Amino acid sequence: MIWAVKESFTKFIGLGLTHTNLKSITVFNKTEFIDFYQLDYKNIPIDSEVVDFKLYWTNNNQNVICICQRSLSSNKLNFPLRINKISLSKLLSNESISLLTSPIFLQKKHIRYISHHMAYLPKQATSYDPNRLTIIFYTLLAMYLLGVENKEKNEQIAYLKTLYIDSKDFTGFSPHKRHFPKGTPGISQTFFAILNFLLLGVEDFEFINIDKICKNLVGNLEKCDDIREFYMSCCVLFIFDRLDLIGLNYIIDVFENKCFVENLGFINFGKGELHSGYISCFASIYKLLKIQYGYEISKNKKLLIFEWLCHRQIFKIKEQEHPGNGGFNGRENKSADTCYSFWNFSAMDYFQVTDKTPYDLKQFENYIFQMQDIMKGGFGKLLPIDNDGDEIDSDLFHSFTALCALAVVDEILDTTLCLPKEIFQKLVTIKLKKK
Amino acid sequence: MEQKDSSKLIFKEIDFTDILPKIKEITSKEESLDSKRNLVLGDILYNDEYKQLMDIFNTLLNLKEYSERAYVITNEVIETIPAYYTAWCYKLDIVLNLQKNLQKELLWLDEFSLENPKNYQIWSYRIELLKKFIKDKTFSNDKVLLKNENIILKLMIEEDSKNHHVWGYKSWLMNFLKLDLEDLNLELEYSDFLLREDVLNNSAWAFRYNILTKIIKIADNESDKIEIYKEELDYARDKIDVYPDNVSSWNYYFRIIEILSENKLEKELIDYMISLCEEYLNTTSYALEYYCKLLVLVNGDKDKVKDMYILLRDHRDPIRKIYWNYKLSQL
Repeated sequence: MIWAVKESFTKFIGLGLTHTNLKSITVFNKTEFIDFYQLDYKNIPIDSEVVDFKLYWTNNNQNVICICQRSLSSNKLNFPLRINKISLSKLLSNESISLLTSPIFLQKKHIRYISHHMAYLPKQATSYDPNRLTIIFYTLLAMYLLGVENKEKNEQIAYLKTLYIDSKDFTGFSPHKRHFPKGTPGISQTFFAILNFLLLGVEDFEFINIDKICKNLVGNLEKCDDIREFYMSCCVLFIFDRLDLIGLNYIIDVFENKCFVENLGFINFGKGELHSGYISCFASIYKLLKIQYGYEISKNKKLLIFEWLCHRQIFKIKEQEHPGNGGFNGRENKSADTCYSFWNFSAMDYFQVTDKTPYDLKQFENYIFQMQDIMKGGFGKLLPIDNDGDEIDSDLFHSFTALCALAVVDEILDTTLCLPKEIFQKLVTIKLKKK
Repeated sequence: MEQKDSSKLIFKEIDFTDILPKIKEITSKEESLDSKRNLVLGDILYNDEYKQLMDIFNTLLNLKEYSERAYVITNEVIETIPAYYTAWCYKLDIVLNLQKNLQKELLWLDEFSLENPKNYQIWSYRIELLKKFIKDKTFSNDKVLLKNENIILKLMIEEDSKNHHVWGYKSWLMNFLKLDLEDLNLELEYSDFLLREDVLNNSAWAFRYNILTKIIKIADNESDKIEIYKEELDYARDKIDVYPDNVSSWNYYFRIIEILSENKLEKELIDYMISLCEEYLNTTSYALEYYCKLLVLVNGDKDKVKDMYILLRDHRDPIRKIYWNYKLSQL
């Protein structure tokens, strides 16, 4: 009995309901009626604690919604709550339901590590000044995924708004107005500013000149020869419902005639080799085209990339000493690198032809938790075995991508724009007010 | 900071006192805005020297000053924040306006590139300089230009043989220049040199394939093309012999088989690949995998494919269990 309860406790706790996010995100309207079953458990020894808890659950259309609450809080079920829906089959399977709430996940250390980046960055970070809005996005999304309630949303929105410039030379967001009074070239900082706003719950973009931003983008797209810039531009046009300005045919033409190589796959405007980071850009644009136009890539092309992506997870039986440990690489014969977990998950999200993810999530789980920096929190890039024995040394980029990969497995992140699922779904359904 | 009194502005031993009023005019607005803020969000603790550098840079840019001191300041900005492309564009404008020696500029870029091998902007700047060289007919022809470019590219590949940016630029260059068979054969030799150093270098394999398609494009007739492909099959086979457990060489081999199969694939070639796979069946899972690919391509023995998929799924490549199950379902 105890064992079974413990299992269910960890499983239900595993639904993403940690103490911090028990207070956070609204999922249901108060008027919504949900018939919950309730079970009370008392004096249950779980790991090193003895706890009382209540379990509320409902089973609706094969989706199980569970809420687990410590009894000491209150007798009533408190809304709002963050509740993840998962399939019954996943609940009943042996797989972990949530990696972000796993006992091996060093949540507190990661929160401390990421929160350092939210505040002041040392002067050594000066070279990142032109990409400050990217750093801000990494930290805000990471804190969200770590279940930390953001109490400064309004102040952050107000501050980010001050970074907007509309002049004859530049329209968009500058990472620092004094240092970059005409913004920075390309769309990246404006793109990340908009993602920051969406993440902070902004739906109304009346404060910016959408028409002008989109018009400039279209002009730049014609000269664009980098798929990352192309991706960010398509995202901005999609967010503001202006994809028609370049149109489906133009995008497909670029993909098929400037990027696709027969028997090989999509390459960044014919430069270099197949690369998961770039493939994830192609994938996300295809996702946008699917939503906007119902467009689907041809079956052959999809299969070609699917097969290639399947081989990015590495574990060689014969190489006992250096098997790859279930992590992902971005190209053939490269070592596993933390960030490629996310790029491959993200790409697979579009190119997958199987019902279930073809990746071995158990192996991934073993691998990704090894990438944690147990001293300072966060995640590093390479395993010591792939890095001349150097211990794991975390950095913001690899911590961010690791958290995103974990959040994809936990099914709370949508990879198209790299936003929480609920925010992305809302964006797709609600048309943003346009200027 | 070398400022001694507020009426003078000396930075890096250069006098900027004349633009002091303009600096004040440009920066005063932003300063007042930023100081009102209580929130801290990803704020970098810039030192005063950086702030001053950016103020001077922005003022010079605003004034469109093309001068030696603007050149020094712009180089300083690039050294400090290499990702800031505006500085690179301004640098090019200064270089062209002052009619500076472009060859020297390229040498500076070479050095900077070796120190910042993962920077994106170095390649955009390089492309701009290159276009200028072509316009000015600095190099007598594309052959000479390629030879010149290869010096730095080889150095950078020597430092990191899989640097995606370097390879991206190199393949851009291959598409951009008009090259003849001699040039292409030299490049093919270069890929061989790299593969002799490290047969697992997928970038070198991808590059070889890129060059091969160019050679094929200018080949005289069908039989020549087939001959070239067959030579490449032998090449890949040799590399498989060197290190059988290498997906890159199997991949290269099979891609050529796929191309040849667009016409009728000779029985001899099929048998040859079968013997290759069978030789390494116990050495590497790729032999199994590519054996299956071949049999599927030529409508071969399905039961054999099925057995091999099961072997891969259960023993040789179990991390891809779901994938192998999918392949089984497609038979």
